[in-house]
Amino acid sequence: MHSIGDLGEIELDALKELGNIGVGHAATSLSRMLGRLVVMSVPNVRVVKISELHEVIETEKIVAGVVTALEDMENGQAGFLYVTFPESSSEKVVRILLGDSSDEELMDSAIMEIGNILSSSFCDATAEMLGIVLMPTPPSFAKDYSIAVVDAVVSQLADKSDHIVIFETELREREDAIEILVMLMPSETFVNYILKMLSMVE
Amino acid sequence: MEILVGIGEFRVAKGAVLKTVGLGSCVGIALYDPSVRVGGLAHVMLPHSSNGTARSAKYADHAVEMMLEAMERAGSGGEGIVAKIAGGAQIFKHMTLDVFKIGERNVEAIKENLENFGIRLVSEDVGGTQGRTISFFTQDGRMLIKYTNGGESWI
Repeated sequence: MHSIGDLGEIELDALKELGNIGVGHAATSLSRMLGRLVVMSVPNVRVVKISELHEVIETEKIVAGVVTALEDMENGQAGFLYVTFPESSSEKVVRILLGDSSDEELMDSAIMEIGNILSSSFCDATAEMLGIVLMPTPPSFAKDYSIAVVDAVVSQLADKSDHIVIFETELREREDAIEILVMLMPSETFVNYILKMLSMVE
Repeated sequence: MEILVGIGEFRVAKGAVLKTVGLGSCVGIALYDPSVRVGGLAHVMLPHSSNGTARSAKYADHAVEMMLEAMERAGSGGEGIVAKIAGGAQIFKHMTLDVFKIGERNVEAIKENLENFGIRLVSEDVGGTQGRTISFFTQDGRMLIKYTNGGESWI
């Protein structure tokens, strides 16, 4: 069996499809929550070496991020899902949602809630596609350098793998682009599910 | 010249500035040999390797060992090497996962590690709740730390 680090083009396309479905569901949930149409872009899927993460995500950008751990009912830890909003996006989303973005604490909890909803729906959709049951843990929230927010979970995965999967995607509300980065960081177990699914695609 | 050190990597240089970005719970370990002005910087993610794990700078113990070897190749005699560390913060305010409490444990394990190698820790900037970006000046062994809130300090 090959590793997540050396996937071919067909496999990456299938992975993109997985991300597409996940993100599609997430966008639908967000539309419902905001009461407006939120359009999503086709996600760009990248398999990135952890040591090269700083070349892919803008490491020194400050983001608000929500991390959820994914528990697989049968095999335990399945990985992590990380939803981040650059500062401008989080303000926009909160302004749409609450009409005001001056109360920082309120803003943080609104972002946490949105992140939670996005990750739950992403999780449900991908789990269904893979034919597994995934339970997301309650979200953890932080605002810091985009790498600093995620390095604790990347560290957890780094012991077993040198790669992570990133779905880059953009959600758009009317003309106002809301940039959101959804990153799926699968554990070994989850990677095996993905590879199994991919082998059925081939 | 500035050289970027990726997550889980290390670099050794003479004269250059070694930089690593966005340390949260991760820890930056700098080693310095003042007699030959050779320094190294590692961005470690895990405090210990386990039995049989491939040698990698993502583990603090391996990173120190690998840096010492590279510093020797760059002219260090191995005597009088000192260390500075920064990082190991707890970034998450609202936290439901134990995973996010590893910053402090990382730092403790790394200190023990350095002691095992007989390397003296001369200064540190660890813990707290903010991310750090560090630049290590191998010309003179100074370390500049920039915080998420815009603050700076030298150690």
